Amino acid sequence: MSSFSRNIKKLFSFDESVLLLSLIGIVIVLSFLSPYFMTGENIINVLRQSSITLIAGIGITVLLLVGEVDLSIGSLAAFVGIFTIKVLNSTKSTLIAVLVGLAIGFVVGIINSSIVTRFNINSLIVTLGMMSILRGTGYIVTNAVAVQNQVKEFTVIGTGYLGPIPLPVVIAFLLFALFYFILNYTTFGRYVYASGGNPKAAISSGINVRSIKTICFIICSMLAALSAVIMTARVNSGQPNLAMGFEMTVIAAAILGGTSLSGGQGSLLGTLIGILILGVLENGMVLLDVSTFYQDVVRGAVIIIAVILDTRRAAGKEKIQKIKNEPRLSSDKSSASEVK
Amino acid sequence: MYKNISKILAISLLIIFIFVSITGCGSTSANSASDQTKQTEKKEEPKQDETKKDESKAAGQDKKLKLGYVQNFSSHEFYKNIGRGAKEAAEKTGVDFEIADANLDINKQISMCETMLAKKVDALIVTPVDPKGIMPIIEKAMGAGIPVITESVKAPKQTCYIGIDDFAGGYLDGKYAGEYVKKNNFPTPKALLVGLPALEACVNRTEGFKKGLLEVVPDAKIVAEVDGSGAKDKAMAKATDALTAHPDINLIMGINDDSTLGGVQAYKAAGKDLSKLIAFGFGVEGVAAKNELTDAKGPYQGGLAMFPENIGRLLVETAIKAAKKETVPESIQVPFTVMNKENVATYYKKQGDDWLIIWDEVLKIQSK
Repeated sequence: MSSFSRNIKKLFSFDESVLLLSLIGIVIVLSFLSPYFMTGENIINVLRQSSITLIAGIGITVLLLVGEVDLSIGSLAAFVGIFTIKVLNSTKSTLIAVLVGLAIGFVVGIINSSIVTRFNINSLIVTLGMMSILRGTGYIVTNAVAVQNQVKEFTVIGTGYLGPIPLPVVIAFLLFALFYFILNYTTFGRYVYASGGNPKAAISSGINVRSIKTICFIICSMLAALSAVIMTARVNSGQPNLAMGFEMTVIAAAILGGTSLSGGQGSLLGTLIGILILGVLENGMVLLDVSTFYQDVVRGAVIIIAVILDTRRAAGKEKIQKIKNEPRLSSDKSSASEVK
Repeated sequence: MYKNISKILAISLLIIFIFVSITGCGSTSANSASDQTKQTEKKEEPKQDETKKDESKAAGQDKKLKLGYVQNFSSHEFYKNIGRGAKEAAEKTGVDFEIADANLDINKQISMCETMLAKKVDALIVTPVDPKGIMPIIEKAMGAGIPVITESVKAPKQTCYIGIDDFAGGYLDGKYAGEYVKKNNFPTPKALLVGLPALEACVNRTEGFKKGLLEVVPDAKIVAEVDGSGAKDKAMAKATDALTAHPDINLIMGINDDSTLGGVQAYKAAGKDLSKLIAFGFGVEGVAAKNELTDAKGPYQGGLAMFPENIGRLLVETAIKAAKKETVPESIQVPFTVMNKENVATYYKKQGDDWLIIWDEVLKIQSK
């Protein structure tokens, strides 16, 4: 084996390498095609739009890792937005309004999780119902008329800056760092992976899978509520039709990032790259004035190609792992499964 | 035993969920809208009876006329206000009026129309989710002698189609924009159009706008057209991208309230000088757009007013005529006009958070 191909192999050895290379490839192509793409203003613009998706994406990734999913986050966003603005207008306090928004996320997370874990119902169905309830309630409360914001300071959450960096990007970065640490370096993080990867084994080794799942549902809903607050601050009103199809964008980004729908597999880094790929594509195609219908086709094609490349890499790696592990298979089962 | 109970509980919850997701989504807005009218309905009940007698005498029948309206998307302010105008007209004339929402699902719409027919409505009003998909039920109704009035989306066959000429509306809007530019010595427009290319009606609006604008200001440029999905958050995101690619944009046009306002919001959020922007809309169907339009310092200069309340009134009045077997025209063009900062107050009156239509003035507008 030549040293060149060995180096290439090395480059491909970490989990998100293919995705990262896809992202870099797209960025390079776009910066050649559009003179506006690589401008500071545009990069900040992409980061700001991606940061809102990322905040919810962290939650969805955590939830997917325990093998559950939440389809209600888009409707929750609209619901939270409406009530945040309502509370804001009546109290004139941004802090109270944001706390109420997050509290709604907390309550919805509890409801979702208790139905899923108590009655053992598939979260797909439960959250599909919740999606409908929240969207419908939003329409009932507002009578389909957007609630206008009367407190100027509130919009800072969505449009403000910390130095040159937009506030939503700062919030998303801090949350990303926090959850990266939690998932990779704490017992709770290990439990999350274990509960999703093999719930039976997790239960028999004494992990309270039910409460782990409950916590993950709450994390997911609260982060979705936080992204809803930011979205609402950006559009400066409580829109009952806010974030239509948001759940699909977020889930697609997480899956694009290598997170498995069946739990136990995936990473926050993957989700981040997945979100950036979708965000950069979306932005680039508008910059290039690509017709909307072609945009849909390109987006779909990129998702499929990236996932194919990623699974091929994963399959190749598994093969190598197998060959490596075979002689000491009996003694090293646990570490092999940990590498996944 | 415990397992069985939880199984039963799970199944019943599931059923409730499915029930809620089917009926909840569909009828929420209709319900909430009818709540408002319910209160007034009670008060006006004696009146209704009088008019009912008059009506039935005139029609030479004993029974009250019954109308059914199946909308395509009631949770939008435009359709909500159509429903509002329709209910008002139905109350005035003392007919039974029922409204349902298909929530953009053609199958749901067909079954709702079937339910209306089973309830023996005297005329059916429908805003088709899809003009071809709705045909079987229109044929069935008309075959049974029940007139069908379509709104916004013209089906291949119906008793009467009531709608707006989107291209002509866009054209008028574009011409108004051009004239505004000329009159105020505004720099050459570099326009961003926030559209909805998946809907033919909305494509006609932007095409009409372009034609009108370019006719008056031939050197105006359409620098970007984006898909705002008709929703404020998405319109804002796409407009932000377009503003990055074309920082010189100084005119924003949107195909509905949310598209226009989303575009303006993107411009605001980008920290640009609002006094260098002019915005034009289409619809002015809701509360937010009227608020923005009346903001003297705001960039929103004019929008094509569709007067959804008036469309609702036309629907009900035409349906009553058709149900009484009077002749109705094959199609009715809904009158429209451009509303600007000065004349909003002519057509609408602000009341609390709401805007109420001023019928006397709106009825004066002739269709073009």
